[in-house]
Amino acid sequence: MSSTAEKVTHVSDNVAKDRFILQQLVTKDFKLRYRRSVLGVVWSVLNPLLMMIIMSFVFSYFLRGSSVENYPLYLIVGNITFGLMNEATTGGLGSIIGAAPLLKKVKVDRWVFPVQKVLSAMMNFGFSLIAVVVVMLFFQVVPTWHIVWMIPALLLLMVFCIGISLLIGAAAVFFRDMIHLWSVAITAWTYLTPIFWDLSLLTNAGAPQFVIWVVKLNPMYNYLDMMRCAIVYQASPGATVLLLAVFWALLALALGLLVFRKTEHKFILFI
Amino acid sequence: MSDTIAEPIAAEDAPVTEDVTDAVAADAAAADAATEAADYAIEVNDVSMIFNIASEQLNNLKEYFIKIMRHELFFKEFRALDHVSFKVGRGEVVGLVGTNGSGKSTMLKCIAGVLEPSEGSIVVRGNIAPLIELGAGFDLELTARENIYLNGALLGYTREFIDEHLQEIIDFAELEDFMDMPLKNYSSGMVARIAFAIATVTEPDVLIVDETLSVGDVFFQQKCEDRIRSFIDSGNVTVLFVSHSMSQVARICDRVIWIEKGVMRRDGPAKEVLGEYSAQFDPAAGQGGEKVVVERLVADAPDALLDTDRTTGLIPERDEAGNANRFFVAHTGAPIAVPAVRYQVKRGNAYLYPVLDPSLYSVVYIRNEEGKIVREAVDEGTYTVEIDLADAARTRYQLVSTSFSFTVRDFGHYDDVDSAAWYSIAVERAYDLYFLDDTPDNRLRPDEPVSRADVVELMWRMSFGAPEPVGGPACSVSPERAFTDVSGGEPFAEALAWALRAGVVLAPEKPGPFRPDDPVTREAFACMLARLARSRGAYVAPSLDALASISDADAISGWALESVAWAVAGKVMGNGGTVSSGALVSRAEAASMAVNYQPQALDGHNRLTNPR
Repeated sequence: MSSTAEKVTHVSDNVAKDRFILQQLVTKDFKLRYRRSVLGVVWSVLNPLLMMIIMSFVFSYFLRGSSVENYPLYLIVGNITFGLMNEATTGGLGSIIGAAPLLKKVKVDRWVFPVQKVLSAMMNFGFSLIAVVVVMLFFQVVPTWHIVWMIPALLLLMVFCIGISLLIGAAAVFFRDMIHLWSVAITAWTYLTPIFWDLSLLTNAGAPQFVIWVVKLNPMYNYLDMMRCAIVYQASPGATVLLLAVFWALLALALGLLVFRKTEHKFILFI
Repeated sequence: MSDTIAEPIAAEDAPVTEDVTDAVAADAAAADAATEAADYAIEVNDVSMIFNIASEQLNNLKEYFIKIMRHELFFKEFRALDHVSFKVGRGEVVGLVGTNGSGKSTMLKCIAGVLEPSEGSIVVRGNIAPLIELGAGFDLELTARENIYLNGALLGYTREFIDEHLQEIIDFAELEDFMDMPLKNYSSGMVARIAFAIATVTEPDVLIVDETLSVGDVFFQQKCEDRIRSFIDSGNVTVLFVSHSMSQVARICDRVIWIEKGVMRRDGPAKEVLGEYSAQFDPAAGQGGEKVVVERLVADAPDALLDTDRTTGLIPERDEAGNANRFFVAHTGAPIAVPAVRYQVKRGNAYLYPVLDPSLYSVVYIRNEEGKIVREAVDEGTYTVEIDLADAARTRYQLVSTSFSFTVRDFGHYDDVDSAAWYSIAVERAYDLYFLDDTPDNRLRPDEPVSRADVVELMWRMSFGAPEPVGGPACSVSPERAFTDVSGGEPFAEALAWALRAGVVLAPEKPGPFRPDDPVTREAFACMLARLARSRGAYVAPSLDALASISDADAISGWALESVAWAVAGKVMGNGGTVSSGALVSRAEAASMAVNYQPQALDGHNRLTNPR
């Protein structure tokens, strides 16, 4: 390669290659998502806003007894954060199967596909945050320095989602039942997580201690709580919540990586 | 494997294809070993690929558990590759052959890193350009431009590199105008072009080519082959080439590896291995040359196919006129209809079109004397036709490769018409308009005077396709009755009969001589042309003022005055200021005046002027 030796044609290593691939795949997803849609990316903002308006219309009366002060803001933060997890993991679930044409013909690191889905979901979430800003402006909520808690919250949630995506993405290759199972799991998870309701409703109603524990251990409760601390409560999250958020992220990642690494060599035979 | 389940017996420490380009160790001992090993671009060490084939596909947990409970999960071990080892040196060009299902593709996928071998290891040094399936990794919803970046990323290019070479890729693919169109609107050939262009925009270290050259049209195939050839000639690129076309493998590769049923049968010089490989399709033939295959096929063909060119194995299908315009390739049993070759004779030019039929795996190449693939054999010269054919199932005839040559001689141009002569364009046009015909010796003899018979024939040809004379025939006497020296059997007799009907030639009062070989003066020619115009109803009576610009108008005979004036007014003659009315008309001048009479025939070119 004497003629091209001076010039850089190929990336230096796998990390750089995978980064470029990830970038291209995320761009692709983004482009295809809004291709031929009139409002395009505006939907990412509009969607959570509309959802919030409808839900707060109904539930704000229902939640009179709770301690939530700014219910619409509380609702939209919960909704988009849970939506992020939902979109990321559902994308990750079918990511390997969906990449079958590629995996069968091209040498490419397999983990990029689940990770890409999570990154795409994060990007969409970024647009949803505009909706949050709109709500904050509307209710004249001024953020304090606590807003920075959003960063660790989102990072931990991203790690958590990557772990789950690796796990279920790999599992779905071998058992397509996962696809149906996951939609049920997500629905159940939606109700178990205080998105439109508040934990105080449970405690005030005298729910058994183990139910409260289940809700508090729920990873999504912790991530939602961190996000709400940053945006709604404008306080630092509690130590328990913080520790559990870290714990769940690391556990999911470890489990996901373990299963993925163990099984990825067999993917090609099942897709 | 639609109805089977395959599970690899993958060892926990399944070896992974490594890229060891950067892994040259720093310490001396390792460095020594590395330089020694680095001579090989590809090392395949005792590789086996094992699939477990179960009797049915299990896609859900319930079925799986039920089968486990009942101990019904029986697997059959299938070795797609069985302890295959070979090394390919840097810059070597190696062909991989084998029948279908022999493990070639599995081998290629292992080397490309798509599959991981169950046993053994594969080392590839340097970057790989895998042309295994062109267009893999393309998203049909994205535009070509977006796909170039996506595909480039998958190939491991840097963004800067793609930015820099984007135009180069577009140019090579010849798709400049379609870059921002979604790929789903592309034809498969266009997709293949882009894919090939991206994969080969830079010289790779290792190039893996799997039958991709049979994608796209013949010209793009040639372009691809040229590029691959340039890589080969550079000596830096290691090429692994898989094709069903043995002639292609023979042309490109020096060394051939033959894999059969997952086992390596032979590894050696291309000629030897290909000879042995093709011999298996014809046990009787022994040392199998390509011709042997064809001859066997013809010999076994039913009687109906005996009208076969034994050297080519092609059975021409003739139309009513007896022209062969389609060919079949003979083989045992019923002929496979291969509309692969269309043979068309068009006014002396032989056209031979290759028509690719994807369902038949037939590829026809026409190569000119320089070995370049051409679409039509139009220019004079000798051409070689190569046909690669496999039947639809690709099992019985893995490959029938045949070649024959034919020669095209262009009769459209007379040997004695110098392209620099003033009349050359007129002669060419006159020929194209059917005014002139082929001559037996391919000579026009442009400077000889034209004979009366020639003029009659020329005007007859000029009126081809025109309706019968306006106002009915001028004369209904047959030529042999009108003329004493015409028997009716002469080549010009038919033309003369027409000339009498049209009034171009006037029948004498009582039978007299026609004198067919006599020359014709320019004024006589003008008279006949004017009569031709009359017979078509296209005659416009001229004003004699037209002759004012002609300096030698005084010399025109009285009987010809009106006709010459008509010819001058119509710019058929006298364009140079003289008409030389008494001079004899040469054959070239006759052609030129005939073309001038038909101004539309010149497509807006200037009228042709005889310098005299």
